[in-house]
Amino acid sequence: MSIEARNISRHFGAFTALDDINLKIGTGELVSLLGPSGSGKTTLLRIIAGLERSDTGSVLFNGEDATLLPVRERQVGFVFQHYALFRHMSVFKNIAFGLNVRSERPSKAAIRDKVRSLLSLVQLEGLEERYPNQLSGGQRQRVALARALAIDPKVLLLDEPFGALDARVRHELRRWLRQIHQSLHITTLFVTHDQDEALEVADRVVVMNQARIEQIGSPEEIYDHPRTPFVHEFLGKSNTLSVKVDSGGASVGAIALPPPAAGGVHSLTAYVRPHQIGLSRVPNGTPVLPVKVTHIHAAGSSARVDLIRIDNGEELAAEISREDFEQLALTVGEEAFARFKKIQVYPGG
Amino acid sequence: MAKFRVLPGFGLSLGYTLLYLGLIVLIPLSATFLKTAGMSWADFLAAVASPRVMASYRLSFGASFIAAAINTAAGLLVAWVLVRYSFPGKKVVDSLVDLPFALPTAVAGIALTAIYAPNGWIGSLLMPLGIKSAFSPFGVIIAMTFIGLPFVVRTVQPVLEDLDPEVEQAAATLGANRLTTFIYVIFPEIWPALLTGFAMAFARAIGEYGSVVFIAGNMPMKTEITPLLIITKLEQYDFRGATAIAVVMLVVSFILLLGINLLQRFTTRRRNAFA
Amino acid sequence: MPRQLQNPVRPAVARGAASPLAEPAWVRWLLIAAALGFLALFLGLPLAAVFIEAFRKGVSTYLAAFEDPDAWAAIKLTLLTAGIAVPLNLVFGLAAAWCITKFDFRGKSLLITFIDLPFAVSPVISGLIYVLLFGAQGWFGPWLAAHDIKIIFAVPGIVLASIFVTFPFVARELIPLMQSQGSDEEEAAVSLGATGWQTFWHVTLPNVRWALLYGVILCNARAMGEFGAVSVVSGHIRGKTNTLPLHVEILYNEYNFVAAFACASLLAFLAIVTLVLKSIIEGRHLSKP
Repeated sequence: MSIEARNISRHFGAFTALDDINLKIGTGELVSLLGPSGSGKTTLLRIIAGLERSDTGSVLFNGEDATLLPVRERQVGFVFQHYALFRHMSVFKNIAFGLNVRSERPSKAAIRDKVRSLLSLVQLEGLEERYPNQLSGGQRQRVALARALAIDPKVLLLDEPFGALDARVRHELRRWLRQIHQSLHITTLFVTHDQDEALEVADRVVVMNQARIEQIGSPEEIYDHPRTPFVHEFLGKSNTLSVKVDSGGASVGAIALPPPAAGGVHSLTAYVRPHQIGLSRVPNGTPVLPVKVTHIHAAGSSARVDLIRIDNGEELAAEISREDFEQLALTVGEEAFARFKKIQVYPGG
Repeated sequence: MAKFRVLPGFGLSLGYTLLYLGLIVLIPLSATFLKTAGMSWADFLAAVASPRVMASYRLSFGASFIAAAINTAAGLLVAWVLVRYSFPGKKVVDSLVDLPFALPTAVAGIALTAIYAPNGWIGSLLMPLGIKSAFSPFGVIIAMTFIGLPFVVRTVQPVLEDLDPEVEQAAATLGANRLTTFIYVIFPEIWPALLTGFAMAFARAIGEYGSVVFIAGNMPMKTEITPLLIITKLEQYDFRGATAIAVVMLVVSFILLLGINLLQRFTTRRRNAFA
Repeated sequence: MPRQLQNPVRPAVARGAASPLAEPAWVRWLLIAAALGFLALFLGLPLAAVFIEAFRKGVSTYLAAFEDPDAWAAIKLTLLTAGIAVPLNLVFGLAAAWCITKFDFRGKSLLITFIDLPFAVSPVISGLIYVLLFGAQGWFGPWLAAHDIKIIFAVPGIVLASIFVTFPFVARELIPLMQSQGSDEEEAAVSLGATGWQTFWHVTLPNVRWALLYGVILCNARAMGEFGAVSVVSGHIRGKTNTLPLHVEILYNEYNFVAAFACASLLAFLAIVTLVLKSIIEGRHLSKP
């Protein structure tokens, strides 16, 4: 089932949680809503689920208006960050709950078969008589997912599903969510503030900031071609460099930049990821930026070199391979030259 | 072996606590048991199981049970409304719930009697319907409902406040309506608190004196509550009889206290288990 | 709850009229109306009745009730009783809370249960136990009579019974609070060289002052308003051993309703003041569980 959000806005008093959001998710897609706390991503998810009202706009399922459809009639599978399991019910009863409360209740045998098959899907066979407080966090979240899937939801919505788990379990469950999505092909939308999680799991990523959508695209598009400074900074490390703009064009030090697309832009800011900085001891003919080494952190798969620009004292960090670093043999206090393999320029600054 | 203690004052504070507790509470309370220990079994039975005393038990326990049941239903309703809904004057209403704790029982007693007496505001309305409210078991129930009212509200309220809203939302996404959610999701969370509140209201009503004696009418065999009977026996200088009945009441109270403590421990553990 | 801090938007979600999860409006208003109706009938009406009955025959008749010297004697005795019972139970509450929350020892939970005992005992029995000890036929009765000391049917008995019924109030407010606060601050103070009393005065007491005041207010209300226990030990001697609640009873039984309700209105006013103070302390200084 496809999901569409049209012109959704939501205010809480003076606080704007969502500002005219438009979003389309195709049938069978696995999409992540990525953004920092307070960006509105959870509110959007909850409005799609029917757990919350929007001030304006509409939600469409398969092109049909579902804005006023009560949550219990929407048939959405919702997974909460803190599981929200019914703690006085066994795992079995938790998963069977959605089947037991519907008006056309399946037979006992049918319910039992359904719960069994879901338990095997989430790899928790044999735990049906346990209670939630006898399970680990990862197991609880699997039960929560099985419970959501029991009602044969048309869409699956997950609110920071792995946020409360420790790093190792989180990694395991990410892979597992992909697998489940591949086998069930259910339209899935999940909220996260963890960029690695979004990039690793989703087919498409929706980056949100301050109640608006910043960019929508595949993980590669978002990472390689961030459309705004926010997206650039939110996805991975980045250095900010001030840009000189005059009649001759724009430049960072001696490095000329492509002229700004729109005329009349007087200030620009350049963004460079640390691994897109190359270092050398000699200028090498290409345009370079003279820098000075302030700190070296070489214990790891790559070496991190902290630098300051000699022309204006701005700080930046470069990440180079251990081999390159050992060849260069830089020490703190030495001067070097930085080249940019890729530089992204945005208006403003 | 002397234990290592960082802070001073253990001996002084514990010593004083035990001394004061012993002098004010434990020794005087044990006097009742020692007094009855001198009675023969037949005398004891005659004192605590005479028809008049049995009638008073029936009234005290029966009326307390009904009042506590009313309080359980109404207390849940009041707690629910105070926690879940907003309406003008909510804070005042919330404070007013504690009135039965703060209002001296004698004041409550005469006020309730004035209202439910045959010429009172409500009594005069009930009289034509053939209902005698004051000076009847009905009046006893009213007074006991008044004094037990805060217990259920104040035990259920924090549990309702602590409920994770997401659990109810999960039930909604799974297709449950509000009534189903209440029965299968909310009620299993709050019943220990409800039962605790019921037991506290019941215990309080059994021992209550001040607010009941004015409205009860105090007719032997009919509207005489057990605590009043103790006073009556005292006034007749029947110390043994009074004490024997007191011992029965104390034992009941202690059993209830024990039950309430166990329930509260159970509730706290449940609330913390899944935090 | 960390998850609420993380996302400031969430708490507003579950409650309030706009939530699609709340009961339909008509159900909400029906429940509110039922709850308020019940409270009005059982709480509002009795409270109103006290003042309406007191002023039934006008202000001057109301005031006349306080010209009776017996009324003044009752007021004085009530104040005296509370003035003795409250400080004693305050000191006890502090001592009990200190040893229970700062130290580990065997039988601690039994001690806590014992402290709560007076709440489980019928007020009538609270009076009876002192009659059994100090009454004419009591254990110490003959000795007291020989030395011409009167406890029962005299002021000391009234004070004792009042202490008993208000015994747990301060301790039970302090113990949970001090338990949750732990001993870190006291241990820090002692490590900085403070003596036990200094630690208590400068560290512990300021931390628990609102809970202490809360307990004192409840303790005081009960001490001034106690009826059953005091009734057993008082002997009802007009002008001598009648507290205000007992004076109300006597006036009422003499069909002097206006005077009875006039005196009752003083006690009702005390109850209202207690409730106001209580909710102020709860709202500003304590997060009551």
